[in-house]
Amino acid sequence: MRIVFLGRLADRFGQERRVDLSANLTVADAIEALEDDDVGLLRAPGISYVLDHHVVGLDMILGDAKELAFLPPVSGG
Amino acid sequence: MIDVLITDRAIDADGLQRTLRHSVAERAGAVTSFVGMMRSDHDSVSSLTVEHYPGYTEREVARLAELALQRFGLFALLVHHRVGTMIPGDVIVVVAAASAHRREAFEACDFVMDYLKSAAPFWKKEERPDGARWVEPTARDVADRKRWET
Repeated sequence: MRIVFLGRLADRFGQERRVDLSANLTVADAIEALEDDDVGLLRAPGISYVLDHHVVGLDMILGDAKELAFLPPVSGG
Repeated sequence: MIDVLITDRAIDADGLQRTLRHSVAERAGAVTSFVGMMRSDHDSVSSLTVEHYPGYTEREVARLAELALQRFGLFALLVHHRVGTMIPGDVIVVVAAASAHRREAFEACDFVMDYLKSAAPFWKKEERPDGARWVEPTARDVADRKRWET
C-alpha cells in the first residue's frame, strides 16, 4: 500500500512510503507497521486519515485500498 | 456553472473576474470577487509554499463549490487556488460569484473563503528569517467557518 504524508508530516516521515499490509488490518495497525519512533504524531488530535480519497477513522479496515494519506491541520486561502 | 482550478501558475485575477462577468451577462445582477494575496507580514515572510493532495484537493474544492452554488442559488462560481512557491504580492486565491442580487454573491465568497482557510486540504509553509514554519488555522479562522453551520 502507498502511504502518503502531507504538509509538516512529510517533513518528518517523507512524502511517500510503501508498506505491505494485509487487507484485514486497520488504519491504526498501518501506523504501527511504519515502525517509526514518532508514530505518536500520526495519532495526535487534528490529524485526518484519508483512505483512497475518503476520510476515515483509526478503526477503518484497509481492505483493498491502494492509498492511505495522513493529513495535518489544513491552511488554505 | 462551476469553474474550479488548482494551479501552480500565476493567477490573472482581473481576467477571471471579467470572464465570469461576461458568462453571466444579462442574467446576473451581481458579481463579487475575493482576491487573496501573499503578504510579507512587515517583510518577515520572504516566500510562501502551498501544498495540496493532488486529486483529493481538487475533488474537495469542487464539492465545496457545488455546495456554495446550491446554498446561495448562484448562477456561477469560480474558485482558482495557486499551489507551489509564491512571493509577496502574488495572488494565492480568487473566488468569484455571480447571482441575481448582491447579498448571495457577497455571502458565497465569504463562505467559500472561510472553508478554504480552515477546512480545504491545503498546507501553507512560510519562509521566515528564523526558518520555515507551517501555518495552521487560527481560532478566528475556525470560528469564522462555524458561523455557517447554524
